[in-house]
Amino acid sequence: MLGDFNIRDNNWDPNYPHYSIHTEDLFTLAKSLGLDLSPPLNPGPTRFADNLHDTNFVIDLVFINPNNPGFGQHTLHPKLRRPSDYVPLFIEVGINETNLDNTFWSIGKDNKEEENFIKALTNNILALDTMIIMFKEILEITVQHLANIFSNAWYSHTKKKHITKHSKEWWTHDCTESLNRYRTIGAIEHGREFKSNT
Amino acid sequence: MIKETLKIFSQNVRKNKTLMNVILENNKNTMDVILVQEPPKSLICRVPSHTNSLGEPIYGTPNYPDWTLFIRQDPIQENYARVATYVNKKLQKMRFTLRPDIIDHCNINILAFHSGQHINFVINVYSDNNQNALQFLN
Repeated sequence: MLGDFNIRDNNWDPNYPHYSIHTEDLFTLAKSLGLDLSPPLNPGPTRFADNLHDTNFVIDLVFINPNNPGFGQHTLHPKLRRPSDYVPLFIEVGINETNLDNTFWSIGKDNKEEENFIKALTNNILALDTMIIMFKEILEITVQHLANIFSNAWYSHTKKKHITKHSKEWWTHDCTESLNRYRTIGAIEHGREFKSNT
Repeated sequence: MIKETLKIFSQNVRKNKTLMNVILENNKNTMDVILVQEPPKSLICRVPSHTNSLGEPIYGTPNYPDWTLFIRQDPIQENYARVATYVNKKLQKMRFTLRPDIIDHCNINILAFHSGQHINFVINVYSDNNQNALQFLN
């Protein structure tokens, strides 16, 4: 939980001599969420006064779970505040490992690539000599060899694709065939067939 | 790509649209989430109205191609959101969602996201001088 809380208090601003009536409520709320006030690595004001009479404030606060590796690690960047009188805060919090890989390996259904993939797989499996498996070590080597056959066949006949909102292909092998038929013969029924396929 | 940390940028931009655009452009390759307090709002269009001959004005906060904007919508101008959260589009797989079902307030944004099998929350707060957000949360 973080943001601009507009509360001045000596608990987080040593230059301010007073305490706020809202601090207790804020700490109670944070505690109920399992959070604690995270001190910045480079303490300082988070809002610069817009006149010479006032002092600078610390009113932007960060509450993080104390067990998170990001607790007490955030930084203030007064040089990046540009025309604003508020200082930007950089926070890096730990999360559970998440895989953001948006690629996958794919092979077209009922096409030549799929045929070649199955052919490569069957030929290599048939060529595998299982008569020599006499010992545990040879069995392990043969199993590894079998795994390599699957892996090599898969990666040499598939294409790496990126997942996007347009990933699902709508153009099928039937579309190609019916279009070719319509272009070659040009009959109305072939045109209708192509339309129904697409 | 395996992600183990979430990089968050937070600043009160005091309704400055130019500053907002600069922040979004400069951090698009380095930050995951941008929390903004007092986001800018500008006139998007006017829609036909029975009560206003010029049309009812519709206001909005800047969108940006690399970021997904999460902001509470309210037709009443006085309740226009004072917090906005931008999530980098590279993190779409983490399924960030605004959760007004938990807290529905113009000064508070609660965002949920998935990391592994867990659901995490980011709370973006702007508590004005009357401490409306804090009172609401308590």
